[in-house]
Amino acid sequence: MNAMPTPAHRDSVLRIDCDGQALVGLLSEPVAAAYAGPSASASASASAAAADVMARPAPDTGVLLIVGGPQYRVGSHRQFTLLGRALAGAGVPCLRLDYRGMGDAQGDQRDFEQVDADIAAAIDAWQREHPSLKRVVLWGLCDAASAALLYVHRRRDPRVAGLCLANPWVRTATSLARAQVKHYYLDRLRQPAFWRKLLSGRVGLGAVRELLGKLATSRASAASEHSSRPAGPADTRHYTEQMADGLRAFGGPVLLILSGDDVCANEFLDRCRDGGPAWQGLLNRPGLRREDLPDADHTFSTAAWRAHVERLTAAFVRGVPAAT
Amino acid sequence: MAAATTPPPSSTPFFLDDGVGGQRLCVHYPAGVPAASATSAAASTAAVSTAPPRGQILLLPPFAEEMNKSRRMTALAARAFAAAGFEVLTMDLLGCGDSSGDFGDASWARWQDDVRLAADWLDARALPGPDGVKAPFWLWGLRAGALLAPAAFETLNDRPLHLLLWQPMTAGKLQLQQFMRLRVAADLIGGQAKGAVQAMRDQLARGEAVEIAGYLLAPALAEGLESAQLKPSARVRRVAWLELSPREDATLTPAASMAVDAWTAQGVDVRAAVSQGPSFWAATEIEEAPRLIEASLAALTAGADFATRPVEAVTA
Repeated sequence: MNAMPTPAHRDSVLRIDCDGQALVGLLSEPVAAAYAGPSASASASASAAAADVMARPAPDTGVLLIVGGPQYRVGSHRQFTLLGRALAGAGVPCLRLDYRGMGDAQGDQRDFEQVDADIAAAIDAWQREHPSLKRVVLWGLCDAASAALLYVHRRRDPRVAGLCLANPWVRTATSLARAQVKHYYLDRLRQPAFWRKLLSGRVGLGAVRELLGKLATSRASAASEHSSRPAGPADTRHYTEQMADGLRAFGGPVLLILSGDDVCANEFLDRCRDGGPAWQGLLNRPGLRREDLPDADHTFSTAAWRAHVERLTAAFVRGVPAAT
Repeated sequence: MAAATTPPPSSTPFFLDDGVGGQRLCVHYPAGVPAASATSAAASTAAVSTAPPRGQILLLPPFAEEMNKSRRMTALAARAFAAAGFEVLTMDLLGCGDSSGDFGDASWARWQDDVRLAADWLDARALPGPDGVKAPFWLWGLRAGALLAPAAFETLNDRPLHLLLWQPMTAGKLQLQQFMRLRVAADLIGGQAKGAVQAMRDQLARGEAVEIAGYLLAPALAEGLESAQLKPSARVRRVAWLELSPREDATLTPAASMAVDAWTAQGVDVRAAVSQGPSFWAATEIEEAPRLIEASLAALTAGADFATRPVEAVTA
């Protein structure tokens, strides 16, 4: 049997209690001897590198990977397992977890709007296990990015030092129809082949009806989906408005990763552009860095796209300013 | 007594060491007190039993993304089985879930090794009963996981061996075909589907891995999966063949009926049923199929009447 290559990370299980229910966390940490850090020279001997790392303080910033969508802590095509290991290999510890009702966690199923307690419990458990951990960067794809923004908005947790938001989820019935009309149907309307097909009668009546229906939905007033209650301890406004507030008020740096081949990312950009005062200028807020992967799909489903996201994340976390 | 105030231990996730092969993420569910012998309050929190378990159950996981979509269901079922007095172990195979390695490192032979590693771990915990025989060992195969069951047959040769099969695949080439079609679907959208399956097969034949839906499929895994089959074996005493259908009144598919007949012809006790519920392993959202868990519990706890129940739809 072939041996696995010696990894530059160490994985362990972290048990997390959330309101009496057991959650399963997976912690990937740098291996001291394997992680020489960016300052070690390539020619340094392994023992010198190890000694260098032993002298180095334990990392005080980690990435808490919130898992969104219909996935548990491993992620589609294991992207979160692999991201956690890549970060640890680059010297950044990473914790990912199943929130209540997902994967191996106990409890009833819940959605991303109701996981604040799970996120807080994960940070608590991590700090209990590793008191040297001072700050976390929340990382979320899709509705986990939304959950990260809702968490910083509602909890104002000073331990959160940065946010990595990949293809954030802002979907409403209107936003989906708009994005489809704009990014799919309008594309088709520009294609000569579509018109040839339409004129030759090969575009079905059903398709035309569908387009008209989407146009109608996309023109529905966005206001009808939103209530306008002021922010407060029990903010009951539409989740997208709370997300916008979270993004605006958050004091730390933000990495926004957007896929080019993804309707969710398109909806998010649409929202930033025409989402009203709550979203006005948010893409230009100080400390926000936007990175586009023009060809990538929603979950970054190739080794190359995953590696790109890993590099962006590791570099971003290293640049998060130290606590003052 | 401490037990009255301390919450009972629930499942324990841990890494099982495979030496140079790295580690495998396992979840162990200790056997609880069966509902019949516990107060209703204790049963609801599944107190851990001091009596020996009624049996041990090892999950043989489904292939690639199907495992992700099944995780909630298998965890729910494992907890229900444990509460009914069974000791349960789930394991992520090499390159899957939270286990060591990349999916591209996996081969069918190494997955078979993993199944034996897990079976041995569980078997070593079992004590012989008053009759000198260990309680039954159930191999719980979901979809392509069923194809891994024979790997554990010889390592469990001194105890009753049973199969709990959930929508089993009995020929790996079907799984491989379905998996490759994911790539074809993606290529269709990208407008380059022509001959896609043949191109992938050629690439594998040249000894190169292919990337499908984010998974790197190595030739050693594709070949092993393609030739894997679950054939009736007299080594097994009981087979619970459980399928799901969205319909309330569904009956077994003709292929499943034939397989059931073939197992019966080997002298194996077979119970087959179709429960109403979603195909959770292939669903877009996370789905649950509680009736499948009920049908499984009925099979696990059945006595001598295991096979006498007629093949029928479970409408409980």
